[in-house]
Amino acid sequence: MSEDSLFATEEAILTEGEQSLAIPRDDQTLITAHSRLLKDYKKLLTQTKRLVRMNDRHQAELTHKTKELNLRNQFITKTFGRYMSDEIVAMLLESPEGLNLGGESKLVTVVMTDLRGFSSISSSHPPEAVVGMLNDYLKEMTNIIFKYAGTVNEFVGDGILILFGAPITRPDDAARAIACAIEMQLAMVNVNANNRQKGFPELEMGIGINTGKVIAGNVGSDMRMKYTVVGSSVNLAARVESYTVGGQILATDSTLANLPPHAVRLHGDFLVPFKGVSKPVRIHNIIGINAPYDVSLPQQTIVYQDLLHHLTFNFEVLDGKHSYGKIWSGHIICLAEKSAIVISSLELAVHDNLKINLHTPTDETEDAHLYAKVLQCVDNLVLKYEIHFTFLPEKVRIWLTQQKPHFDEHHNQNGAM
Amino acid sequence: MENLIIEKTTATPEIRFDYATGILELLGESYPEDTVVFYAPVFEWLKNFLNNNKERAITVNLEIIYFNSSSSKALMNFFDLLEAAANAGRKVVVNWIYAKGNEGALEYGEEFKEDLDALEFILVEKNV
Repeated sequence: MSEDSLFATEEAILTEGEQSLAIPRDDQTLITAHSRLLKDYKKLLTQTKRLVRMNDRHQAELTHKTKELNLRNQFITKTFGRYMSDEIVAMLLESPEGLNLGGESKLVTVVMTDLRGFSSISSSHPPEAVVGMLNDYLKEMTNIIFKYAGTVNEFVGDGILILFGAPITRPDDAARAIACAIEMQLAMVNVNANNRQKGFPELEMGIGINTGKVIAGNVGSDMRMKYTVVGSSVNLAARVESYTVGGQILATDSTLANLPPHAVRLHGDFLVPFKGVSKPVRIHNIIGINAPYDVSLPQQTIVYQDLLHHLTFNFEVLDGKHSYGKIWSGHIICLAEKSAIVISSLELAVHDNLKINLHTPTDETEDAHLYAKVLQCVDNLVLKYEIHFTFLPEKVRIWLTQQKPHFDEHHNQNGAM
Repeated sequence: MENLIIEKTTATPEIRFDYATGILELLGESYPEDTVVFYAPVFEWLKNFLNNNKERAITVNLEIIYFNSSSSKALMNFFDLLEAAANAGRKVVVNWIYAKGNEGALEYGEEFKEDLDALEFILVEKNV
């Protein structure tokens, strides 16, 4: 539609007015008034046409800019949507100035999770089962992480690297991280119920938490870019995690320092001299967080049964996932579902990881290894220790349940540090 | 007369009217919540200046990055006042300043210029 036809009515009024003025009249006052009105009307029409043209141009510019903005928002949603909750992505879109992709130093609470013995499980199950198990587990965990506005930085095999404080810093980052970790542990009940239903083995997760400065930003090349964090604080979270047993949450002093006073419920602590860290780091066993989150790990009561016949075994002490190579001997004197009291031929340290070969009378379980972590020294004169099984093959577990108890059972609440 | 100074906000331009030099400057974006209320002091100041200083020249520097429809109408009314002053024999210069490469801003200037004959309306390209 041309501008003339858009304003055809107004143009017709103008033409009519001009024609009317062309008719000879005697009343000069009327002619003057008519002329002025016509002139003003002409000006108004010109202005209206101009305003409409300018508006159209504005509209076109805005439409173009809106399209550009939508494309940009789609890019951000695509880049971050898989790692963050919708809420955080929405915050990024609303205030992109809060996001420095070039790299920035931030105080971040890093949560590192790991499934106990999953490498052994994956080598003894079909690939589809392993992927199915992992996906069910990760889906359940991701929902919880997003609920607490955490960022899934990376799935590291069966582990998850979660950030609280990147890309967006909030004052309650450390508290949300702990509440999230507790709820993730609680959700393992669902994960394992699902696994049992599908005939998969039960899984146990350890969680390490550390708070510290990291460098956050987009790292990579044009071909592959990823928002990530680097720094010793990230590594420390992973190392703290390696001290956990299944179901446990360990957090460093620095995480607790970023919480309001008396925010968390603890069950013991210990010092670890990490390599490359100048002072030993104090690590706390987290069992709950108070209001507003108010979530706790279930109280664990370990029921030990003294064995009628002690079970002898050989073991190696592992350094990380590697063995020192020396073989030692020991025997189990008391058994619980996931732990045991053992007498060792070697003096052990709390948190030592052991690779155990049980001497079983059946061929079926002869070659099966199990892994355990030393929880505490029960009696250092006779080298008696409490150990927690970090990986127990199903056949060995069944075989252990068939071992005859000697007499009364006894209890140990919440394990030990 | 006192100088007129209105500080810039996200939705309104910075306005400086220097009585001594007779220079009026508008710089920024213009989409006020109430255009009439926002521009009322500017019109008042301009009318006072024109009424009380019959001979003095006036220069208006406009660098408006974005303006809404009601601001366009306010600018047209503003130009009407200036055009009338120029018709009455006063020297009036309007500098429409636009960033180099901003074709839209240039076209808006051309639109405004079209109606104005008596005042000197100059399109000024600014290197960014």
